[in-house]
Amino acid sequence: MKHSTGKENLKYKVFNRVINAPKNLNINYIKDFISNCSVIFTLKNKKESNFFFDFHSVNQCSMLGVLVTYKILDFARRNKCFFEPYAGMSDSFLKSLKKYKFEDLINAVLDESEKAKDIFSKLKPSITDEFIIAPQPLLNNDKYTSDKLNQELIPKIENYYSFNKDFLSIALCCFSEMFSNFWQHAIDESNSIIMAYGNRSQLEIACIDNGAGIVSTLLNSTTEKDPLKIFMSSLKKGITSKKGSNHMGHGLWILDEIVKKSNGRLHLYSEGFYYHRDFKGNISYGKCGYWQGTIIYVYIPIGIPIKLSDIKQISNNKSIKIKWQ
Amino acid sequence: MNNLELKEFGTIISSETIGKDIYDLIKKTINNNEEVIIDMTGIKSMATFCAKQIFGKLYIELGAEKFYNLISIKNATDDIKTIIQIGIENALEEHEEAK
Repeated sequence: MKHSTGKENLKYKVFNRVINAPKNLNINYIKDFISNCSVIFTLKNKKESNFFFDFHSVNQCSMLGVLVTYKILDFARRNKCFFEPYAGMSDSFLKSLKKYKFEDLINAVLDESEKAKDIFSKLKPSITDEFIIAPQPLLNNDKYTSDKLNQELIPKIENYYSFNKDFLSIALCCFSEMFSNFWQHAIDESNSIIMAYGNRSQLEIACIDNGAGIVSTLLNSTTEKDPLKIFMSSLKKGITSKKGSNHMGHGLWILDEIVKKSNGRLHLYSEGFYYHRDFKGNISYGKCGYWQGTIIYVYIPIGIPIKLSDIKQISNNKSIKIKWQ
Repeated sequence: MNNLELKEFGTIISSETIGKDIYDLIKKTINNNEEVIIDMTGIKSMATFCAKQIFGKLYIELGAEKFYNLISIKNATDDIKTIIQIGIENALEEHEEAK
């Protein structure tokens, strides 16, 4: 991969294909970026030459922007979508890579270096007075990864949010549902990654993979044929691809309910469909650019303290008796 | 009465492998109709998947009465209580559907 941090170096170069990143590579424009990137999923083993990733215009990039960028570049590299591509990055974009600790990883991916795998598996959470950044690979060995998460990621998040126990409990609930959801659907090459970024007033969690995707996973367990309806059904209570197993089909539903109650945001992308729950409960959904696998993004503000039991529909069977002590 | 502390399995119980280990441990303990207290001290969250895998499965296998008589759960947070409740509820719903 040939890098450029200035436009001039690549001014006279003619490219066969250009993937543009929006000015604001954040949650509000990530749908546009996914649409721009969709073509990459059709280029497996094509080894296209004169391929250009243009991040020159980026003047603001969030955690989600960095994460999606990493995943798409990594997908393209693993699947030989291009041959010696070019990448141009603005100073702001480079600063964001540094801020979110993805500088080395993305550079290794761009250089098609074998180091990328090593750097990926060693991603560690970091914490300052102001914020916490915690990228973690979700590896296929769930026990190994679970131990690692419990030893490295969770204690830091617990410590950081120890000033608000109710919020911490809800945040950890989101983490555990996202972990288990991705492990249940993990395949060898899905390379799932979870990342959290937060400060004293909010927490963002994003989980991304290049696995089978929601529609493909649910297709065999429903009579519904409309892929958008299948996609949207994943947010309903009890919808699972594996009825009769331990699978609950509650993960996305619980996340959506938590976000609704706390006036947060949930964005979901998978296989050409999207669902957005935004502030004040505004919901939109429909078709969008294709993403192989799934992207889940959750934003929870700390302002509104909620408990799981506040979610009315969550449990309604009063006949279940449990001896609590 | 046996006391099983789950904190050695981690702060968050979200992996299928760990869920199975916990289920096996409880099952082994109650096999002789011995009562068990499951101590959730230090457990901050549990995936609904694991709640069903552990407590939902035990509830179906033992039946409501035996589950109540043999299993006590102590020091669970309110959120974990809710998660265990819905894990059992979901297992029961599926059990009823399968009849």
